[in-house]
Amino acid sequence: MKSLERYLVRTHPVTKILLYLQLLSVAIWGPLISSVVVTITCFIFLVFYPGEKGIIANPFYAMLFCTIAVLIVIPTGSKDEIIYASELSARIFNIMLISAILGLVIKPYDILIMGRLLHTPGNLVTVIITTALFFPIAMQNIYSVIFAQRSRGLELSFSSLFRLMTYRAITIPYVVCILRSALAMWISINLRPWSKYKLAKAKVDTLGLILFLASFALWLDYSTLFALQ
Amino acid sequence: MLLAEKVTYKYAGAEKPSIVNANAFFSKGTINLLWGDNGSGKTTLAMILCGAIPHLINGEFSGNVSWDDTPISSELISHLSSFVFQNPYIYFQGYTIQDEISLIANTDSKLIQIAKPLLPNIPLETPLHKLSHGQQQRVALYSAILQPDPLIFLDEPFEFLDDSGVKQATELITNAAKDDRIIIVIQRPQREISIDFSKGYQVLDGRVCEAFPEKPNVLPTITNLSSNSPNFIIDDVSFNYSRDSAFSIRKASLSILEGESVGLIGPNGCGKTTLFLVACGLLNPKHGNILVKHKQLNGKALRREVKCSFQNPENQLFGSTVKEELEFGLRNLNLDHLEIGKRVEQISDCLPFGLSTDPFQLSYGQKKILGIIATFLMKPQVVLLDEPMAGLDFKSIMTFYKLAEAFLKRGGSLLISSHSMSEVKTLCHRVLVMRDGEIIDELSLR
Repeated sequence: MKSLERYLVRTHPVTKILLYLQLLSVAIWGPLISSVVVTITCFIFLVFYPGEKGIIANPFYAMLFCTIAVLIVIPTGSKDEIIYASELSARIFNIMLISAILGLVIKPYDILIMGRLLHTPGNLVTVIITTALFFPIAMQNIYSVIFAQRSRGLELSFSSLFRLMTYRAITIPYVVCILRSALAMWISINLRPWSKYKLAKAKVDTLGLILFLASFALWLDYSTLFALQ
Repeated sequence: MLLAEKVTYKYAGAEKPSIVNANAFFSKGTINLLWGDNGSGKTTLAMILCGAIPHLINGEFSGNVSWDDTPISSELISHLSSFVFQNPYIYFQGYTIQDEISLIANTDSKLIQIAKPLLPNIPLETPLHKLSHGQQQRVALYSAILQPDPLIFLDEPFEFLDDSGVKQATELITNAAKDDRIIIVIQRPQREISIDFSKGYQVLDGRVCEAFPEKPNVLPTITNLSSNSPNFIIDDVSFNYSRDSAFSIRKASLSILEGESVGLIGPNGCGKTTLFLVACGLLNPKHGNILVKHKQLNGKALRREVKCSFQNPENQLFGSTVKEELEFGLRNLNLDHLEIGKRVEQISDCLPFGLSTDPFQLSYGQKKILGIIATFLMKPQVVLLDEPMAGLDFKSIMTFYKLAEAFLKRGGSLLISSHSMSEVKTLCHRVLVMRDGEIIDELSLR
């Protein structure tokens, strides 16, 4: 699993992104049997994904939630409707799993390279990549601000929810930190010559290309095939 | 060569220019120093030299900056320079250490070769935001220098590095300059580093002149005022961030007397900051107790008696004036207006800036000293200071010493985290050595 993960991280960004878009499309619109195959594969991948044991918990609970929600919405409880509800839940679960894997193996610079190769306007790609990279910084900043203010005596209790000062003391430093970091990151991104180094190293990945082409087979409706036999 | 001629720059909305009529010249294959006190305009000048100003940041700009006789344009800047900021995290464009380094090395063997001395015990899959400040600074330095850009700017590159990190970084910078590149180090004069700089430029209130800093001023030693009565005890404390993760703090025990100042040193990422968060009641220990004046405390009661000043001062400023910032902590202690006014009035003489100053207009070092002053003003039993000297100029350091001495005289206890033994020597009476989440040794300094 470790080598599969390493392969997926290092494979050519375009192949990688296209492969996942393909899996995502199959999960939503493809035949149910293919969707189930994709779900099981992704599930196994996430269970054994190195260092991310906990990641499986969220989509799993989400699936339970979706299943219950869909079953509650259907009033009659007829067999067809239950099958339909289960299929819907499976597909929703599938989308979540694929999105989780997307987050693990598609790195921000993959999006940048893809954007450059597809001649997407530079500013749009920069906005996307900055947002993607900025998320962990934003999360880290909120913790740092809360720690700093609590150390200065700010208590986060139920009664403090009604005090304007609580929001002021947390929101202002947080927004300032975010803006400051965003400006510095903007400068940093513009100073680093992405295209020059990374694009030169992004070579066509044959195995990835074969995998991508093979994934088209998931669009075939095997249930019809079996019925014909 | 890099040349700046008659450069003047004023930030949009600022009252006066940050850089005035500056001239500078840097030859290839040299390491250069930009130095000056907090808020003097060092970083702004570096931004001008790399082209970020005026191409990425607006403002009123005049003068010329050129690289090999070609004016620096917006097209040129991305291929010309790397800039590692004071806060190294901002530099990163990857999610894990592996992502970041893979920008410069695509093969496994080269990746391992580069990363091995960088962070010997950290897996390459570790997300960058989970590293300590010093570890992040190492990764940022390496990935900037290992890229073949001809011009490299390093803003306070040694500030959060431990001794081995400083040694590695010095070696790396010296070797990089041999490749016909220009390295510009932005540094406060108080920090001693063993690099042979070719040229030094002093920035003083926006004016630039060619000069090297004099030998750093000798720091005074804090008088030992400790009694025999323990004031703060951490007893067998362990902590881990999640159930499945390894312990960041393992069975840590320490005791600090009244009027005593204790240093905590250790390599980057050994758990110093985490221990501080636990010790001041912001994180709950999984095992062990924390005692203040022989009383076991936790949560709110502990936070009231133990105050912490963190590494990054920018995370806590929100007031419109310095006075409001200073009053915030006192208000949270439910002190009456008279007492608050009295304390702020008393401290105003120590401030290197006015009470009505906008804290957001202050430089990094000035913000840092403001944070430290605000912490002492609350008069807790124990003050924890995380890298207090990082970014401070000599004037601010002296203010800090004055406050620390008064605090110890009152019977308070200080715990100071640092990676620099020379700083700890003057500030502390005793030093605890931390490694891999454990306190492994104790050294007496007096």
